[in-house]
Amino acid sequence: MSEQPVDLTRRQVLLGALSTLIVGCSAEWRNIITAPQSASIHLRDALPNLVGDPAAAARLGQTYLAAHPEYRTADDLLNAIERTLLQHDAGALKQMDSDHVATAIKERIASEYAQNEVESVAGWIVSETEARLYGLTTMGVIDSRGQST
Amino acid sequence: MFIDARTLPDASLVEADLAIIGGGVAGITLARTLAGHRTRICLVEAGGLEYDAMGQALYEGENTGLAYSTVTTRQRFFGGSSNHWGGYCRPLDPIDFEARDWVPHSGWPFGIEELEPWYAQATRLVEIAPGHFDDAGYWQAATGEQLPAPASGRLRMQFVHFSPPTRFGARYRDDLKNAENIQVLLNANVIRINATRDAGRVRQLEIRTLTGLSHRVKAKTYVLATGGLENARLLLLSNEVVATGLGNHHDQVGRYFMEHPHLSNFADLVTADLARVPKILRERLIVQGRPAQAAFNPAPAFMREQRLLNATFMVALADTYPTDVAPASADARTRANRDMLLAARRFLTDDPSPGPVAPGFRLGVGGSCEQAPNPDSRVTLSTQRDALGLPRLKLDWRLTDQDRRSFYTHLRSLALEFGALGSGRLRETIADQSDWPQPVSGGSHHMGTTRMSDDPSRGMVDRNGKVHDIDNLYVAGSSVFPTSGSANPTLTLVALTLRLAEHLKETVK
Repeated sequence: MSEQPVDLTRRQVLLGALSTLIVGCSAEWRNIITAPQSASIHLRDALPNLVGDPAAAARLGQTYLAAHPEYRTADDLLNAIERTLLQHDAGALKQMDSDHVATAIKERIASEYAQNEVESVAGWIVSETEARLYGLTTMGVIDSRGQST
Repeated sequence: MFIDARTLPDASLVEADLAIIGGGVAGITLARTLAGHRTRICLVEAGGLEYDAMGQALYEGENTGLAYSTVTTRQRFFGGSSNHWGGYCRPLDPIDFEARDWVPHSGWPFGIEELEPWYAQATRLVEIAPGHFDDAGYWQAATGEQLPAPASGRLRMQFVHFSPPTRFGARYRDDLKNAENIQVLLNANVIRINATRDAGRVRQLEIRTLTGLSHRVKAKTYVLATGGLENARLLLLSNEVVATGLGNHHDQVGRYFMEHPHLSNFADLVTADLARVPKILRERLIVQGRPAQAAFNPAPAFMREQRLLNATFMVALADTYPTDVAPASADARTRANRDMLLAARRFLTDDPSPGPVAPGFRLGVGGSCEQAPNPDSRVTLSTQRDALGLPRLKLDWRLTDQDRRSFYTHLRSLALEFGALGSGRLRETIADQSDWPQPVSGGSHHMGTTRMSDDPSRGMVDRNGKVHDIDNLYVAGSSVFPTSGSANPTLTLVALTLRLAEHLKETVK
């Protein structure tokens, strides 16, 4: 096979540099840089299978969001959850249906407890992903009937 | 033979080979083990066979540290504190015996292997089933319930056996009564231990009754077994020869007082599905006629890694939330617990039902912690006097930041464990963890005031319980514990006393 001449444009060079940067930088930054711009539809669909009583969850979520002003929109929270999942199983969300996403999130939550990736929400020791789910409920992503909106 | 010291002629002299001061768990265990032996034993008990308010009042003391009752945490009559014992039995953990570089003054002169044969014998005396203290497989088979494997690596499950509880006075009275080599002297308060001029030997015990009689007991060997508070007090009172108290050349007597801080009302633990919390985790189960319950203890590797002390948590069903709508009368706590149960339902049950549900249950959590040995936590003598004219004890019980940090870290572990297992959610109800949950009480476990060490400058008794520098005086009971672990002390003090009995069989002839 003959080698093609390499003709790098300025844009390609920048992208290449960015890729190198992403590979070389910390996992936390890598996740931010590679985070999807919009949350997976499967993740939204999975939410009703994850939150029990939306009203109860919303009350907890309210406390959580008050302590986390960085989450201004539902997409902020969805992206954070998705990043967490991708960190542990890259690309998985795209291949999963909503049931599998729900299962993956449940497993992730159990794992966060085991790894002490938790925070205190009104005194409750809650896994980070679980707390974000409650925050989503507060933002109305799940309505009072438990449906994804 | 039982003799009431109040019926003896004044100034009587009782002679024996071995005088045991104190008819509590240690004293009775020791006497009973030596029953039938050639040794003539006099067991000197301050109280009678039944509770007596006047005698009990001799236990009143002054308190300068944490609030603590020196009266209600012990019993001054035959059987001693076994008369109000709750019956909890579990050995100390191997790590409790170790010199841990993160726990000042830690380390026993020997490891748990030294006590293991005695623990086995002790289980018979406290009338529990042969110990299965950390054998989850045994309890799984015995109860037919699958027990969850630890998920966080921070906790492990152990199993507490419950004694009936054995009231040593009532249970073993006849054994002592029928032993030809034993006489029990009741209502005989030892007010002083007289030593030789060089303080190298004990000469005799001075006895006083509340009726005003004075007697003496002379023996070849003496064992002090009056409990973790009174052992220290009696040595401090015996200051004729050594001004700071008998056996106190190195200022060790009375220091290192330890309790197991007992805490409650620090957390709410909720569970939606009791099937995920096997019964033995939340109630005493009778297995082969004997009760037992699981406890949560920190994993040794986690304690090492985080430089923490030991602790024990136990849970029990405390409340039920049976309806999907909170009653109008529900308080903030109930509403908070219900909210969590309803919100986390998908993680805590297998029930996919979208309809109205019964939220679940609240489990009460009790915690008991190891406290680090602390020389400033101590028993001294008060200027106040008791009915016998003796200085009362002054107790200054102190806890450290390390004690508190360990407790809160292990509490977090409990939350993580239930979360990881999908069996519950825990709410810490103490907002300010720079302080202890209130109130801090004890378990009526008095430990450490005559601690054991091979080095006389670090402990007042040697590995056999003999007072350093005094040839014929031993100390028995939990006052010799250099560290406390988090297990209730009775089983360990019985094991140590059985070991001491074996030693005395060889030395007192």
